[in-house]
Amino acid sequence: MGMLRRFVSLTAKDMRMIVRSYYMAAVLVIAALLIVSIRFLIPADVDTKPAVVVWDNTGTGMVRQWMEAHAGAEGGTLIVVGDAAAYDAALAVPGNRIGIRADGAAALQQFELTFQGHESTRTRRLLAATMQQYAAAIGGGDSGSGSGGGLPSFATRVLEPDRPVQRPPFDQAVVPLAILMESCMVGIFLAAALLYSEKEDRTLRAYRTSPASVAEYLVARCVAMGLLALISAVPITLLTVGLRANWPVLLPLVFLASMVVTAIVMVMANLFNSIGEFMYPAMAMITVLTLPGVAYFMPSYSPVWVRALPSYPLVFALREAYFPTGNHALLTGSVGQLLLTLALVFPLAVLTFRRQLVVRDV
Amino acid sequence: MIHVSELYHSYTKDQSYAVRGVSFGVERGEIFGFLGPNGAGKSTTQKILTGLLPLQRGEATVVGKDVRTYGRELFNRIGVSFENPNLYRKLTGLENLQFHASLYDVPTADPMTLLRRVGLEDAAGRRAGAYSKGMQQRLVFARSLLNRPEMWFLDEPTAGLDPTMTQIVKSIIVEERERGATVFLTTHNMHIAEEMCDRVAFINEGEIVAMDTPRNLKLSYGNKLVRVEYRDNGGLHQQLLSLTDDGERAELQRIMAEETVETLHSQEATLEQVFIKVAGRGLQG
Repeated sequence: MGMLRRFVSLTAKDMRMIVRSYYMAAVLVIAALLIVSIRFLIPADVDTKPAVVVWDNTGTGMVRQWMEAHAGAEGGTLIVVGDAAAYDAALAVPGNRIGIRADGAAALQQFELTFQGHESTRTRRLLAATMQQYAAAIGGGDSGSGSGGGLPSFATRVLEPDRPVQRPPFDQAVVPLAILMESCMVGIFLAAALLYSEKEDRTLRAYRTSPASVAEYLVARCVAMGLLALISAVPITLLTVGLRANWPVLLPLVFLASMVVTAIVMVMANLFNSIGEFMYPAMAMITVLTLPGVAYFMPSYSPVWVRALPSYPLVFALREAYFPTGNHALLTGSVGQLLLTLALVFPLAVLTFRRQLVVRDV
Repeated sequence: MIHVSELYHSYTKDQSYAVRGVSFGVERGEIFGFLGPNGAGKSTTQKILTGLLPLQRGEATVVGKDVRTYGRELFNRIGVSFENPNLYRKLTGLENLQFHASLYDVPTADPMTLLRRVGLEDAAGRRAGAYSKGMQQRLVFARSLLNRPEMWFLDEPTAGLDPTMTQIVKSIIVEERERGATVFLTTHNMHIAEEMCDRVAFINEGEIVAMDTPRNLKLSYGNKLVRVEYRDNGGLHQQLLSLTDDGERAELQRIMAEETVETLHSQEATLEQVFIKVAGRGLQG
């Protein structure tokens, strides 16, 4: 009972300090800015696919028809032109456009692909491969014959062909990243700020002459930061994606993530004497922990060390909580990694904290 | 209640000791004064006894428990008042006491009653950061009483207080001693020590240089003096005469017999004078 009473009292004290130091106000202001940005500044649709300008100069129209069929199916933009002048003019328009010019008879078609110059090698090769596939189809050859000139063919089987593909609007797709950076990482500066204000006021010295333990102090601090994370995450979620998030998953996930970040901060902050000294490592910590945000929008960017960060599975778990696809492994994987990190970091925080309190006599 | 033997402490962990070979004992119900100038080793000793600093060398027990091994539950029986106010400045005076009261496993005193005792009831709802230094000092003093401690450590409890509040704090210390508390009073204020302590220890440059009751120390190290004012041929004269010097005693007898004595005061040595005599420096140094 004594332990529970101390925990409640410590948490209540921390929350009072958070409110009266205007930390809560700062968190709510940042949340409001994020809401405004997501609702009014970030577009709902950001199409990063290039528009394709097609000039079918074969006289058969087969290339144009094939492109219309394929580009239409993939939701891309297709601009069909009828002569060289229109082709050059269309490609000269500033923007993300590539050109396909087809010449020659049906069996001897020749293609010229035009790029702006900024396209990646991967994009260029993909387009070239697509046209090779077309040529193979028109020519009636077996692209998977292993002759070296064609492409292998693949049979595709769709288990649930009628299942709707969940593709959230771009502005809403940003929400998991916003929650990662604002709510989950709220403790990086605020937990440290609270700690340094206590060191400055020497209140920890008084705390140490009471029966309460360092572990109780740290648990309460982590919980207080977890609550602050929820206070930030709830309005952001309600005012951007509304009620349709998976709340029973989202709230514990944000709470746990904030606790983990706070525990890490409690270890790090002990190594520095002031919030000024701590600022640089804190910025580095934020930068590293938000790197999985790049992978979130560019899945091809996922080196092993980025995947090892607790924020990597977290950002995808948050996406799953906001836009459920039924991939429970994302959630359990992230929760498992967070719990493991907490189990490793929290005892370290207790040890370093206890040692620093005695050595530096704060 | 306290037993200390051959205590040493070095902040630099070398032969430069802040406390060197300190030994003393404090009996239950005693007010024990620990006197010395700033930097003498008073606070270091108190910090070791209250677990704020690790015991490096020597032996020390508090309430019968070895300070190396005592658990956090011992703090249910100990109260500590610090020299420098260490309060949650964003919390009110009452919230500060309520928070600390919640940390104990034993029944605690009513925070509002404590605030009343130290004259802070009207400021109970104000944030501690808005308190004057003296008010913060009183709040720290009140906080140390929350768990009705058996062993009460006081570090300069009257620093920064006006004479009225100093008197109130002194009376609370006496009341708590009557309740059964043992008091370890660290101070460089000789008047407080002289007035309140059953025994005092003088510490200088990390070593205890004298330890006894204030009366015995004054008798051992001080001179018995008499200040006499008398009229002679219409003029007012004043003399300070020793009662232990035969010549000066004879002079006093002459004045008493032949002159018109206006005032006569015995002049004992103060603890500060005794300290200067044994330590070779003043308490304010």
